[in-house]
Amino acid sequence: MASPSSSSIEIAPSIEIAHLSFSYPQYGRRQHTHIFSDASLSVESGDIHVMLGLPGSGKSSLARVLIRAVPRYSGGEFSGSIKIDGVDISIKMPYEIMDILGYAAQDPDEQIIMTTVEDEIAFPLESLGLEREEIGRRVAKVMEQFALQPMAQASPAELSGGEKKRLLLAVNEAIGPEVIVLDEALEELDEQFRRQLIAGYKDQGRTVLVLASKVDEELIRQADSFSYLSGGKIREGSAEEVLGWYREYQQIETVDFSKERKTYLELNDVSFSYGKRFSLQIDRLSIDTASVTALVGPNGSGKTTLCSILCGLLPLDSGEIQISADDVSFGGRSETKSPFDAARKPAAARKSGAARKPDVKGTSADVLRRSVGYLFQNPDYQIFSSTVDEELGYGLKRAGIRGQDYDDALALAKDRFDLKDGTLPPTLLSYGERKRLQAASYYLLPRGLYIFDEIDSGLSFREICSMLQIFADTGAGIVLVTHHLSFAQRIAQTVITMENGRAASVQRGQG
Amino acid sequence: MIGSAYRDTGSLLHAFDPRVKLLIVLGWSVLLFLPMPQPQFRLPLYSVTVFLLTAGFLGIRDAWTPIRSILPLLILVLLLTPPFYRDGTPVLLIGERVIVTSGGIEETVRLISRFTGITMLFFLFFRTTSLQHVILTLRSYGLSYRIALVITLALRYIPYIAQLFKTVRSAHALRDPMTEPEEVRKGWGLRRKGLELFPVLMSVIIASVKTIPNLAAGLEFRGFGREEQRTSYRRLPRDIRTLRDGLIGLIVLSGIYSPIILHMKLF
Repeated sequence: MASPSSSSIEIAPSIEIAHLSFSYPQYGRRQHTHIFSDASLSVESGDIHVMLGLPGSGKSSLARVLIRAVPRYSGGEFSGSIKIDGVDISIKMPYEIMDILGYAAQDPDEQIIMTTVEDEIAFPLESLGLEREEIGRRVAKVMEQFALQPMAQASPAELSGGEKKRLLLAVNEAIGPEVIVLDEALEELDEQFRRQLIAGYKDQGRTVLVLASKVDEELIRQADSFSYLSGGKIREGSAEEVLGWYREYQQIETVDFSKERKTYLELNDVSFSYGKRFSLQIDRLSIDTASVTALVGPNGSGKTTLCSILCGLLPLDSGEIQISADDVSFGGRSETKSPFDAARKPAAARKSGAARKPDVKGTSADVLRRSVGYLFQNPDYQIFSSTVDEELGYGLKRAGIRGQDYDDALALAKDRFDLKDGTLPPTLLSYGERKRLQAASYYLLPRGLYIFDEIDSGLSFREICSMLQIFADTGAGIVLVTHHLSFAQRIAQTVITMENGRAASVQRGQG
Repeated sequence: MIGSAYRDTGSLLHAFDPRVKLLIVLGWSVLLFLPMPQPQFRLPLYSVTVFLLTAGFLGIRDAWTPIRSILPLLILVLLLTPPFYRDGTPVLLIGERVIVTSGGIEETVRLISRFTGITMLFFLFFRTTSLQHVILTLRSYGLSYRIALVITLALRYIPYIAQLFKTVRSAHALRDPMTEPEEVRKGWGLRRKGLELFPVLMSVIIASVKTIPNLAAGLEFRGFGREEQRTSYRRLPRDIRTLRDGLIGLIVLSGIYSPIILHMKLF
């Protein structure tokens, strides 16, 4: 009996979403909007499928719908069907699909449960009822594959953002599902690792749905199919078509500084260590105002630690940080008539009519804290208040700004950062909107230097560039922590590469 | 929820059998509430011993961690207990008014010693025992897997909230103005501290509550709820080490209980 030719075999798609509609429950004044409206998608078995979408377009919601966390834990109206490898999962529980569908969340802290890296990998394998020896074999294999052995017994809380993402990917690899959903999970991984990971998935014939808000050229080259998520609909197309729909949001624009560039921070023989696991040593480094400095380097190389030191959150073991406050006039534009500028000046300076200068001397943590703004990677750790207006007003009130100046500052910040409704609770904002709110709050705090930790997580390049330009207009310096080397080189004047807690190289960028 | 008290520093206590560790912790905790001769001296001695053990095994910085977290409460106990406890002989008088009595001092010492001792003991246990081993230990004492996991996660919530509090407080501190105008500084002080603490606590509460559905979804997606018989990657040792650690545990418990047992026989 002749076997059928491959062309005559009809292969069922690995991921088949049909007529998906979903809306979250309506809260307060937030309008009832459809996150998905009759959305459909078909991904062939073994394909690397890239779905692009702007921040807030519903990518994370789609991922949560796929793993059945939504609407189970969120509520809301759901209709349509989702099939994974021919199995209708829309009637399944999350624990019933864990072995057919893998998932890595945009925020890894949401998924990590156990207290050691090794136990985190073993936990789902125990749930699957695998023999101890088999668990041990898989754990050892993926720890080697994902370079996690040195931190096998470390608490996940000690890992950097990129290391946590590697851990989630390792867990997926250990379970071995045929289909994997990566929600911005490649964002904080270094480029070489990303390339190897996708190549590995292709070799294994895995079906991977990559949800991304930015185009990674290498990923586009490696991917097999593409779609674009917008307005609750999924549009499938070729790479060229999808990139065409998306292109305008991907443009990297230059950030222009009208003020003179000056040295703001100088680090001399700075050292810091987390016990025996990691140490940071910076012999000499200076960071300027009116310029973009990019910090790049692999996961765990010390980028976030250096930033925490720069803003006084971590104490130095030894060395010193000098802050050059003289002649720095960022934000203190007394010659301008903008009400926003007036509001940005502390009350004391406004009363005296003096151009504002940071009232800082020495290198204490308190001085650094008040001079360097640090925007955490996760905006939710820096958003506290019950409404957008209250959030923005927190720093203004602490600076003694009241009345019309206060109202004008709020209005202008909302306008510049596209925050339309100031009465909304921040919890109802999308991830991208919360990032903008976080940035707007810091914009209202005059600082000589603003650090953006992984700003590219959840924002398009166009949004990042326009956001940075707003900060650049104040004359302050900008430090960007990013894994996108090409983006860093395009936008920054200085690119610092971190390796093993050292500033391995300091190069000129194209910015 | 990634925060936890556990840190792998490879100390001897990390390798110690967790079943014996838990027994010592519970035994030592009960001891702090038993009647004993001269409790005003013995209770602090027991707590100081736990502190010294923690410092010896984990280092002075780690030993200080739990003390720092309960320090505000200890200060409150120190300030509020003596004036409200009137037994014993007067120790401090202002005019004819008795401010502090010997009974007040003893009660303060008792409360601080118990609170510090228990905090240090459980910190020592969770600092040196991974979540998997805690679950296995609870299961070895007869609890079902689900109950053991729920208890363990609930206990992890405390260090998680403490870590969250630290993060949120840092985030708040980063939003201090460069220069605080006089009108903002004026009239603050203790009130200012209170006002500053309120939004931090609110943020921590909101973030903690938001963690619950994420944790539930995370657990379910890791297979919590499946019908298969769950296996275990980790195993508690069942060899000569168990016997050795059990013997050490017995010696420790006998050592700390012997004065009480002797006291009971004498009276």
